[in-house]
Amino acid sequence: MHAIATDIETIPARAGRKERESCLHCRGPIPSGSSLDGFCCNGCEAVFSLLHEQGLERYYDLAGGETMPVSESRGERSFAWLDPLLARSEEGASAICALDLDVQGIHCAACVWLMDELFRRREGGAGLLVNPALGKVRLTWRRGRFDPRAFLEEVERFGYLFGPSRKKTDNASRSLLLRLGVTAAIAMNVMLFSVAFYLGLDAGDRLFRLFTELSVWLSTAVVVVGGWPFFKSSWLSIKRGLLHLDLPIALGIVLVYVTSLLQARGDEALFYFDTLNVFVTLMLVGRWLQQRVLDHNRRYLLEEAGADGILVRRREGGELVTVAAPSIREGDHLVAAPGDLVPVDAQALQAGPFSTDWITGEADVRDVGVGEGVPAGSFNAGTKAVMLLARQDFDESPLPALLRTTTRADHEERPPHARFWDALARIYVAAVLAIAALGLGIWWPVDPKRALEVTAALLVVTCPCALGIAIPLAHELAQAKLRRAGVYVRRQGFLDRLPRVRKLLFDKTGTLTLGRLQLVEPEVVHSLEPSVRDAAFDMASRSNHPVSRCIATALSRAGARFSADAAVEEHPGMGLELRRDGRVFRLGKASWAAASADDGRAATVLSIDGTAAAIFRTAETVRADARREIAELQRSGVEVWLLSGDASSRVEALAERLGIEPARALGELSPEGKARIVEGLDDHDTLYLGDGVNDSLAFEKAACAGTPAVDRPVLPGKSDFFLLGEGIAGLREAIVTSKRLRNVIVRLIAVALAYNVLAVSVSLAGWMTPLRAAIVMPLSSIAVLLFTIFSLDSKAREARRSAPAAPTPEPAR
Amino acid sequence: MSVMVLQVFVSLMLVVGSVVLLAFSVKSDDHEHADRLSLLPFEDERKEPAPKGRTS
Repeated sequence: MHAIATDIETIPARAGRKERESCLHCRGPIPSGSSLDGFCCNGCEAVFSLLHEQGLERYYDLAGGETMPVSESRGERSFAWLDPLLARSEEGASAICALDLDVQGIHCAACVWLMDELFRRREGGAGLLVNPALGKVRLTWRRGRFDPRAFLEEVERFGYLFGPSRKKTDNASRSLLLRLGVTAAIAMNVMLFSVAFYLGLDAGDRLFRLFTELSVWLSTAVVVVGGWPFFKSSWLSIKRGLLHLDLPIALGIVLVYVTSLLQARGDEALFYFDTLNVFVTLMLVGRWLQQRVLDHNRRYLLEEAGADGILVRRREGGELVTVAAPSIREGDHLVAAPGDLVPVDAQALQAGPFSTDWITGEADVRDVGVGEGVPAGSFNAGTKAVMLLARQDFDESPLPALLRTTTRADHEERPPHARFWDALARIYVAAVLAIAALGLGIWWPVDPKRALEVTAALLVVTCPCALGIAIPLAHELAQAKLRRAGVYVRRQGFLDRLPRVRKLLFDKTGTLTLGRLQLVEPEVVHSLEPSVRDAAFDMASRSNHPVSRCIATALSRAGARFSADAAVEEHPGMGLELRRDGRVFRLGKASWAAASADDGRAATVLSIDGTAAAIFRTAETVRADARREIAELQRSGVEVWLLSGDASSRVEALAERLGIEPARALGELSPEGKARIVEGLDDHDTLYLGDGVNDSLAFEKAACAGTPAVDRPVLPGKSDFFLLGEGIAGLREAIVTSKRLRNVIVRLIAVALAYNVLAVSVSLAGWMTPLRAAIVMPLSSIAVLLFTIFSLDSKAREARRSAPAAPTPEPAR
Repeated sequence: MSVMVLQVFVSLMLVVGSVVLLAFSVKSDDHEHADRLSLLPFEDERKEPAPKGRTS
């Protein structure tokens, strides 16, 4: 077995190339130093070209600026999961077949249009129902007249990924929205009744009784329907011995409702039903805002199914059967199609290239010969299926341990930010009860009726509007800002943990590097004659090998043309051969293509009749802005570490180029080794960014974890956030935004405290009335909302700034 | 007086109607894109779709 060696080398950015600051496809920021002209990543560039090639530019009109970056294709993707689903769909005798699938990458109505359009262009389709909110698709077609696999492959070229239908409707989210709808509709009616009271509706009027009773019944419905989520989480937290932030909200709802109910028995309209209804509605709006972005980001990805979700083709007698990985036993004959994952250590019965970066962190593709071993966790990186013999049961493979889905919360003590909110909730509840008791105690000796009125007013004005609406809004704004910077938050609490991060740990392959190659001397392709360039492109574009893909991309940019009828022959482990116009073109190893050009330095050679025509040296592509971002992070006091399973020499070389201290660049690490290092370093202040399953254990030990590999299994499901695009500037942006968010929250709490001191004083003096409360409460809520928006909204911030751009890159809108 | 009661009744019926429509939209999971999706078929086709794909 040998590897095609590549140098770790940063390709110098072409100075002065960057004319635009935002991507033509997704409008996201273009990473500083990117060699791409007008795009933030290769994925966006490919999809932009494809949309224009196929006359689908209308996509951009419909998207209205909501397009998202596209994760770059890593070549062939496994469709092993599709075979059993298609077989099941076509089982019956019905003329129409149906298939339900999940989609990754769908985000707006433009995506629906695009899929519809691609579907419409094909013969034999019966219907396509796309659900952009959930990211699901129902495909129906006429039996024998439509190729669903070809359709799915075509749609995937536009950056979407299909998978088995596993996404479930989140009933909690649905229920929250419904509760909000019911509460808002009722609140508006109750407010209209209250206007009549404030305008002096006479207690003797029959309408007074009618409106009072309607207010009571409708408010009861609001408390039951709208208050339920707060009551439930408060009760659950009390049962666990904790004080959740929902407790003050639930307490506020109950106390205001009960006191208003008592007041409604009298002949005066001294109740607070309108304020109560508005309060519950605002609290639900806050909860919904908090949930909305997280739901969107979660649904953007495919659902993870662990080991059972990995499907393998196994030979059983004369048949090829698709089975779940856990059923693999030693001695099974497996067939790994292009893009398929090998779930156990196996022996190759046929030669083929395998990529092991996911499990070992090695950047290179290994050419595995007949009889050689293929490690568990490898992907078939070729264009042909390869027969394998399983050397172990799946349970003995290293994968099950790495695939298990535990979360940090399962084994950790409560993090500091959670302890802060617990303490705040405790203080709030105690303060509200103490103030209410104080009001009752002061006024009872004077006038018991008046004491009840004052107590009711105190409970109304101390309702925690800032906690319930402004803080969720602040989170929503911060998450929306991060989406524009290419960071998609998946878990609640991530932005609370992020400000503490002082140690940033990177995996190497696919994280700081892009997992693809780039030509060291791109001008080589321009020096070729057009006919030679076309021949080279015909060969390179027919191989899925990373070196071929790299050369094909460069040739395509240089204007090479593709001939569909070119007869290209692949020589496993050697290269590609094309006979055209009496000449023999070879693209591959120097020793095979043109022995005279073999200088011992691994490179790919293009030869004509055995004479070298071009030498292509390749290097791992480092993320364009990695060096600058790492320097900035270190300048701001963050320790940067590089942990990799790849050879130590490569890790040290990359660390040197990126300015990472040699002592913090560690190579040849096993998954357990990485996890041990993270555990040793973590003091609730580590952030781990990785892309392979070998990072899985380290993910569980880090305070925060994220991945840029949204097209690979396992890690996206375990991560707090994922990154899209080719830059890592989003990380620094996320840390800065989380700190700004924390400051805004602290100020919000201070503002809320000041407001409460004032409002409590007014209430204790007996000056608060339902009408005044109905004016003051919404005003205070609006004030904190405006304060939050102005503090976090980047548009507002930019408008206020007249100075040139700050060093931190602001995402383009 | 009876007019007021009637108005209150109508207003509450409108509330019930809007909640039912919302529930339907939420159940169909199209509440976030309902406007766009429902208008999609009426959008002007500014361009005829180009012939599919191209090689060489």
